[in-house]
Amino acid sequence: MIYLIDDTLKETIDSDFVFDNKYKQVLTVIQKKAVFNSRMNELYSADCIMVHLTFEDSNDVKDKASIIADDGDEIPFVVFSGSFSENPDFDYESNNYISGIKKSTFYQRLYDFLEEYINNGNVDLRIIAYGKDFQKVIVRNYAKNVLSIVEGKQGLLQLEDIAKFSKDGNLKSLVELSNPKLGIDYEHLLETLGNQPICIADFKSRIEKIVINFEQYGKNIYTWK
Amino acid sequence: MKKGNNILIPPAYFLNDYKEGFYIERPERDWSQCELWKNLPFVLEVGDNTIATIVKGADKRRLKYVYVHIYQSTNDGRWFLSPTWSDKILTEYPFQEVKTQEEIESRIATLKEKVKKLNEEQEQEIKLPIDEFVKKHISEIDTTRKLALFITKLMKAIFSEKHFVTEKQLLYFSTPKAGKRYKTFKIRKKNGGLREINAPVHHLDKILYILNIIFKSLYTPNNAVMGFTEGKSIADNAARHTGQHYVFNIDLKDFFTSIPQARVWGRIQCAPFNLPREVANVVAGLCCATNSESWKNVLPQGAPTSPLLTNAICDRLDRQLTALSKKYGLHYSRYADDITFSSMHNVYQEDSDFRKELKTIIEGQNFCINDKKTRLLRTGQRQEVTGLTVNSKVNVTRKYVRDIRYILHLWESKGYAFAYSKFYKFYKTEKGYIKKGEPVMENVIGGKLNYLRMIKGAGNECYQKLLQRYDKLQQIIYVDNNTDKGQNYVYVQQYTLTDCENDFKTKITLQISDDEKLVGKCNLFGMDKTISISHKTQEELCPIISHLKVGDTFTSEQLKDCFVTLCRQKGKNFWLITHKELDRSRCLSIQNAQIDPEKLLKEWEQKGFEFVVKQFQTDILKKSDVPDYVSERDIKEFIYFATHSKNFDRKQKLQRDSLLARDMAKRKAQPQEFKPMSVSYTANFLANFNRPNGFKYLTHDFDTESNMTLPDLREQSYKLLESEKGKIPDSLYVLIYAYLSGKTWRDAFGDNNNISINDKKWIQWSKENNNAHPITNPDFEREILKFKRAIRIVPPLLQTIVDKICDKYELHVTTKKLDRADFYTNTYILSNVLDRILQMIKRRNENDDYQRDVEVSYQREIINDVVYKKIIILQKDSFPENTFEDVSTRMNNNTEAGDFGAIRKILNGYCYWSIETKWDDKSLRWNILSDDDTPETEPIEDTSAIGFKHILTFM
Repeated sequence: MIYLIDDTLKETIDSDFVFDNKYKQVLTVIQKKAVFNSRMNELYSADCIMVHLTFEDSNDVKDKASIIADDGDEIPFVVFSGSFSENPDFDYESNNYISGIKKSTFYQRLYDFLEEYINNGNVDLRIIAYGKDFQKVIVRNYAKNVLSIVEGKQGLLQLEDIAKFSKDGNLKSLVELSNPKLGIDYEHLLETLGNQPICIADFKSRIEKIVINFEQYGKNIYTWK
Repeated sequence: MKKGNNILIPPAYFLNDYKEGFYIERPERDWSQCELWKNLPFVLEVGDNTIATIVKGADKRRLKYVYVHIYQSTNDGRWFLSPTWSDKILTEYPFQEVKTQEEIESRIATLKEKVKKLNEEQEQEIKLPIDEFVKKHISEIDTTRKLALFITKLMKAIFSEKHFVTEKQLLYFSTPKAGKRYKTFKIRKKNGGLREINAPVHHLDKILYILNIIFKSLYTPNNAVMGFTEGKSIADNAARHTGQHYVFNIDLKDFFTSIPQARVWGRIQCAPFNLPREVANVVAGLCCATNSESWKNVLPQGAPTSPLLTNAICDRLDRQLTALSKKYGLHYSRYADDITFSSMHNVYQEDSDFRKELKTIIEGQNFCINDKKTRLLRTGQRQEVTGLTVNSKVNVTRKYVRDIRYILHLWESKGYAFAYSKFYKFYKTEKGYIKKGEPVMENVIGGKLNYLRMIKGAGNECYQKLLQRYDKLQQIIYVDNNTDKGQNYVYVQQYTLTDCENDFKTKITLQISDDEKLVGKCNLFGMDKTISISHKTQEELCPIISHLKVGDTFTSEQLKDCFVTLCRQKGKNFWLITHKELDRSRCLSIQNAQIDPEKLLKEWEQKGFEFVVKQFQTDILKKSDVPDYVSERDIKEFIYFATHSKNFDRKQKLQRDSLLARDMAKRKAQPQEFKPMSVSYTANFLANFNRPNGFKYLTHDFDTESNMTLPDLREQSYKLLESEKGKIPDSLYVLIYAYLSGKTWRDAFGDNNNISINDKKWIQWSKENNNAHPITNPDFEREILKFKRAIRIVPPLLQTIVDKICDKYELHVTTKKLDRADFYTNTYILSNVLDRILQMIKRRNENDDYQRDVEVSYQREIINDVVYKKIIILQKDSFPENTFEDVSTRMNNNTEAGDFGAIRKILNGYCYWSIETKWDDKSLRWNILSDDDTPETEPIEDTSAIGFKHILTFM
């Protein structure tokens, strides 16, 4: 069950869908502090808690809910408010916690999030953080980090070296995301191509092509081979 | 080497009369608690910055001892301290040579004696009136070197600051051929001719200013002399000739330039100056400049000494003319080159004996009568002497009063904008030949009223009526010459383009100026004007500016939507064309508040500064339309600022400085008792950032049902903030106040910001966008988020703060959940405290030469439905060496509270603060900052005291 705790639902444009019968089974909406207090114990078994930062002009509800969710360590947790920016700081690899996202942006993305939950049972906070096409953003981020390794360098380099510098596994993640067309896994790719020298300019253009593929088609249609 | 008192003194080391050097040893706790400060015979200005410099420098160089200089400012006599990092001094005075406690005391006693003597000597000179001082010592001046020293001494006494004048400088400035002595330029006369002005360069000007003071102290002018004489004015000159049948005026031709250097040289060697020849050579050279027409060295118009010297040189002329007037039974007076005789009988016929004798006397003194200006005025005519009417009494012309009345009437009935346009015409017609800039109307009227008071007297009914009307129009919240000191300009009055063109009867066109900018061109009452256009407006009006040539004209349909604004910078007006509407700038006006320095200082001295502030609020502010948000703090700043304005003379400035020093010494002498503030109150106050009727919209978009505008929000926030002043920590008040008013505030990392809800850009943008909140503009949103991070720990800010501090101190720290911390506080204060705590931990690790593990974690706890957020800093295996009694006694004695005392003071009101550790083999929790119900100490289970733990609890 997903818990949406917001006292301002009526004021928020395009948030009516949360009351659709379709979501009744999976979404509990709490709009009053008294209701929240009486149902607090239920929250421990929630699949995700989403809370308005200034619920009834106070941070109490958010603070209590965050303790229950242990800020995403126990239960995926999202805080939204009109005072946050559209682009939240969200580390999708290490936690399930969006500490602040703009309320209007949150509701724009909530529909897709709920659809994914109903259809596949996934609580995917990436949809809240980046929208339904989150892979584009993620690939762009990976690519940006990978390209930063070779920035300013010229000449030849081995893929293995790039892999070593890419400490946070950005290259690995990038390769895995573009996997379908590669047809091989990351370790295999390194084994095959690891020692072969790659021209840096060529490497850059390949990475950029992957990004463009994702932007245009939502997936990679390009093969390294 | 003697330890214990934290001070170590090397053998006598006087840098000079004003300096003293000491070694100070790093105190265990707080540098500000160093014994040295307390033992000194004067108030030492040890500011936080100085201490921070010492701490930083000592840490960087890993010094246990720091060599400091204590020195006295030659400006205001205050004592300061600065650290010295020179290795030379450190090796020159090795610590082994440091003396015993008795010798330390004896050194301080010597210093006390020295300071006393110095103070006495200084006082002596300052107390002696300048004229007496000059009269007493002038006879000792027999060489140029002595003259230079004498001028230097007087400069120090008069300007309260040090300007050195050397013999070389005097010799240089006294040589006519030396370049850069006088700046020569010409100004237009009323009759259309040109007047040559020779103004001395800055340094020479100061020297001549002092020379003039010397001359004034020695020389008393003849009774008939009215010009350039203290206590006499044009009114006195006119008064001598009132009610006479005949008034006879003559004028001397080229008065100043007809006095050569040789005549000056001769005169200053005679009584009462009696300067020796060597000194007279130099002084005459200093006082004269080469005339560009005659190429002779003559008395220049523009030097401060020239007026008095003309009087001195005309002494004989005055004596002879006085005798002449007595012979014929006339009244005689001279105002510079303007000579007036008056009488009930007529002796002034062209070929009369009187006229002949008069001519002989004047020509005998090497002057020449300007026949064009000679005039005889009879009863029935308008008899005018030095611009004033003297028919029955001394008076200004009727037109003079009528003009003031007319402008005041326009200002009252049609507002500043229209009155200014009419005034502008008057002013330019009357003074346009000499005043090129844009006049400041209120200053000109003020000046005219002052003149009226001088002539008619302060009690005159006509003057009083006009003054009352003028005062009523002057608004205390508008900028003036005294408050307008900033680099930026302020807006005085705005006109729409159409209004401007109608009111000033002109047409504004666009043209490319010589520096390739788009400017407005117009003709204001016969004078061609170039009006600047703001950068943005230039782009809007003329997007193709880069394709146009200098001198090209351009037309734009958008020009009619623009505004022409009268702006002011440092007391000078100018015009600016903008596309935006600009409101009149406001701040408390010193000029308009009309503070009486005498009264202010008297009450400050007798009843204290707070009383003055209160009185200012009730007496002056209540009378004017002052917005509610002008706080007591503003007024305090304002009064301090006001006391630095031109209204204060030298004596009053000295009195002000001594009052300031007294207040400061008083504050230092009485360590403030620690008064705990309520954390729950502050938490409740901070919750206003969630409330629509509080500060919510300072960092949050307006809610849909809200009809708020930015000015409303600012006013609401000011009111709320002011109502909570004193109940919340001062640092929190200051932070929010700065954001509301545009003053500087600091973010969590100590960086300065000027971002403010009062930003004109924001207000303008909001206005243009249907009162939208600036947070909806991505550029402004970034700035607002900066403030949000100053007032709230937003994830992952706490982690970033701790990481930065640990990097700074090269400290390895394990952190837990810091990136999740989310609560309101003053993040700069929290960051500051964490810095201090981690620095203490670092020092402890260094002192014991082994690294203890450090852990910083964030936890939450719900007690009685309240969520408490805790930051816990634990240094494992670290236990205090001192007993608990020692530590708590020191803390309760404010003067020795050290680092802990400082942290308690900073955190007061923000959070609770406890320390858990083992003291005297018992595990204790010491609640340093807590609520009333919590005991100061609580026993805890042994297992929890695994080291030294700080717990900061926020609500």
